[in-house]
Amino acid sequence: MQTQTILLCFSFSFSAAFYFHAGEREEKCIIEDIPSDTLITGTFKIQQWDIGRHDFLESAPGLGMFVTVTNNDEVLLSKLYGAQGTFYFTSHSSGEHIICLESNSTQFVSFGGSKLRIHLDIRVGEHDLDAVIVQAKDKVNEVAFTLRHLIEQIEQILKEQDYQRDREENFRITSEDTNRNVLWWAFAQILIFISVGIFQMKHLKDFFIAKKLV
Amino acid sequence: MFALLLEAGLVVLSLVTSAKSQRTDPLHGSKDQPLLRGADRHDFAIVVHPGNTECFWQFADQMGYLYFSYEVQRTLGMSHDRHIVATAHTPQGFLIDTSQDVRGQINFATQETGFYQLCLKNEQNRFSSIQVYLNFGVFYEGPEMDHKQSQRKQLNDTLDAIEDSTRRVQNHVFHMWRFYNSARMRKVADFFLLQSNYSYVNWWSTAQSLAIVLSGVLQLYFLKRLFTISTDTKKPRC
Repeated sequence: MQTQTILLCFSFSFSAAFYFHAGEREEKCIIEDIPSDTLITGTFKIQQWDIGRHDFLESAPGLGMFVTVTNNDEVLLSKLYGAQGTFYFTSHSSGEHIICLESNSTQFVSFGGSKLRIHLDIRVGEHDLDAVIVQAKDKVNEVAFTLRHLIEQIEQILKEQDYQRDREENFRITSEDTNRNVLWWAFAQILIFISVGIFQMKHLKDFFIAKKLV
Repeated sequence: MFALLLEAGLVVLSLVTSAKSQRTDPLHGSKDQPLLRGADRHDFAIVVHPGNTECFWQFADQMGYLYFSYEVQRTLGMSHDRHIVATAHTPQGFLIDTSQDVRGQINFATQETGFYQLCLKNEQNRFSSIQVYLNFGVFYEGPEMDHKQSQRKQLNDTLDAIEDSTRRVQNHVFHMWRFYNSARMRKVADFFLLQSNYSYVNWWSTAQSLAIVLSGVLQLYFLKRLFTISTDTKKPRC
């Protein structure tokens, strides 16, 4: 009874996320900009389109999901899951992480009617405390777990602020590089201009002397 | 506490049995539920290909607020027009609002329970993909109003006070994340613009330097050829 209630509550919290549609052989990617050393938890579920019923089935029998996570062309996660699952990865360096989902359908040609509904819930820097909160028997434990969730949020805020400082530093470095490049390119072009002028005068003078015009 | 679990189980059973319509009655006992469990927020970037429409469906109960803001970060291709069309639809399919801009937001109160459709359409560009940063979520403010009243009755209960304070802090943290994501969208778009300026300065200056050298060499060549022709015409005269 308790386990079933917990699973049903997890199903309830799962349905509070969002979903999107994809073709059966289409790869859908979302880009997450996250700081370093951050745990990412993604929970997904596939629903397959039923051509006969003109509606989505409750599940996708026989289908799996390839999950690929890349950061600066480095593959952090590449794994095949079932039609419903949870993937985890930890970001080693900060930046844009591309999370791609693609079904392992073996259909050679994707027909017009074959599409999937993918429910997705991505948690950044959070452990799954909702199930623990539901499991709490009394108010003291419930308040304690809520406080723990709050503490995790505060820690994630600190990571984001550190990442914000890194981004501001990158922004400042690129701005100063652009400013310096503009100045040096101006000097370089003046030097190139003067050099071309001197080169022209020298060659023309030699040419005129050779032709005995002066 | 067992009654709370039973009530949650009943709500979930009602949700599962009516999974087709994705509709459920509002939770009357939401006063005891942790507020953040209902609140939900998502922020990520997607690439919308030319002529394509990308849609996301966010679940929301009634008597809540759904916010949806977007910012075009960069174009991946030839075109420089960064406008995009954003729309929001009710679970019944009716249009709530439309926004066509480089950045914008659609905020509304949720009147009914279901999956609200949020779409982005890249129809201005025919030759460029667009990377768009999305920030959408749903939050509810109803239970907080109730707790302000119940707070007066339970001021002596330390545990209830701690729980109420924790819930309010979580609500503020949620909104802090929401506005932080809005600022971050703008900053990332500015950074992409700065990077394109940096590369633009470099290759345009290089091209201009090459043009200076090329024009100098061509000037010299054509001037020499002018005198060479005049020298040839002198011989028949002599």
